[in-house]
Amino acid sequence: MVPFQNVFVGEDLICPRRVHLFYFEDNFIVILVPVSATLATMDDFLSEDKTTFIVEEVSKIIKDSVETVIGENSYKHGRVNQWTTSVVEQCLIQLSKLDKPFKFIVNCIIMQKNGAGLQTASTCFWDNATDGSCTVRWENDTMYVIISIFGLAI
Amino acid sequence: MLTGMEEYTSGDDGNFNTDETSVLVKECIEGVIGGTDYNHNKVNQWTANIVEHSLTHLVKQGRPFKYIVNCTIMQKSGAGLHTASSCYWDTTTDGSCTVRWENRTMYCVVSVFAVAM
Repeated sequence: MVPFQNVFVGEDLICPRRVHLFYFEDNFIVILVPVSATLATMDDFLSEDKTTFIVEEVSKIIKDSVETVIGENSYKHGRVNQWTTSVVEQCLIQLSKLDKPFKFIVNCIIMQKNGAGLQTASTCFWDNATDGSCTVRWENDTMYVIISIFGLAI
Repeated sequence: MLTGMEEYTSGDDGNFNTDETSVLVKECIEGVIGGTDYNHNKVNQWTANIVEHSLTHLVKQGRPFKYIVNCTIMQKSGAGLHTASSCYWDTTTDGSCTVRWENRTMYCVVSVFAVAM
C-alpha cells in the first residue's frame, strides 16, 4: 500500500460528517471531517506542519549546533565570542533551511562555571496560535550554554 | 501641504525606536532592582517583574509590533558571561534593543526584540 493512502471515504450516518480512512505503517487512521471539507490526501493535514512552530524540530537544531560548535571544549575567554556567534549562525542557517514562513530570533548565553548565580526570563507579546519558542540548556564540565529561539509567523 | 514638524515625525510609528525603548527599559530595571543587592531568593521574582513591566509599557505604546523581552541577571563573582543574538527578519521594520545595567553585586542584561505585524 502507498503510505498515507486514503483507503476509504464514507459517511457517518449518526452525525453528518465524512469518514476518511488512511493507512500508514501498519496502522489505520480514521479522520472525521465536516461534510463541507474537501480532503484528498493526508498532505492536507500534514501541511499544518509547514506553518506552525514545532518545538521538537527546533530543539534538535539547537542541540546539534551546540555539539558541533562547542562539544567538549573548555571555557576559554578568548574563544567565547566566536562560539556564541557560530552557534547562533548555525542555528539560523538550519532554521532558514526549514523554509517556513517565519521570522526567527536566536539568543545564546554562555557562562563559565564558577558558582555564580544566573537567572534569565523572557516574555512575549505575539499570536499564541502561530508563534512559539524553544529554550535549550546545555552544559559541559566548564560552562553552561542557554539558547533560546523565538519563531514569529509572518 | 506642510502644516508643521509633526508631518515628519509621524513616519516612525511603523519602525522600531531604539532610543525610546532603551529609556523605557532602563526605567523598568531601576524600578525593580535599583538599590538592591543580589539575593538568590528574589532573583526569580525580579526577572519576571522586569520583563512584565517592560512588556506592559511597550504594548501601551499601541504600535503594530509583536514583542519579545528577555532579561538575564547574573551575580558578580568573577565568572565570564557572553551573550549573542541573531535575527532572521525584515531589517527595514523590525529591530532590537539591548540594555546592560549593573550595580555593586550584579549585572542585568535586557533585550527587546520587536517584529512588525
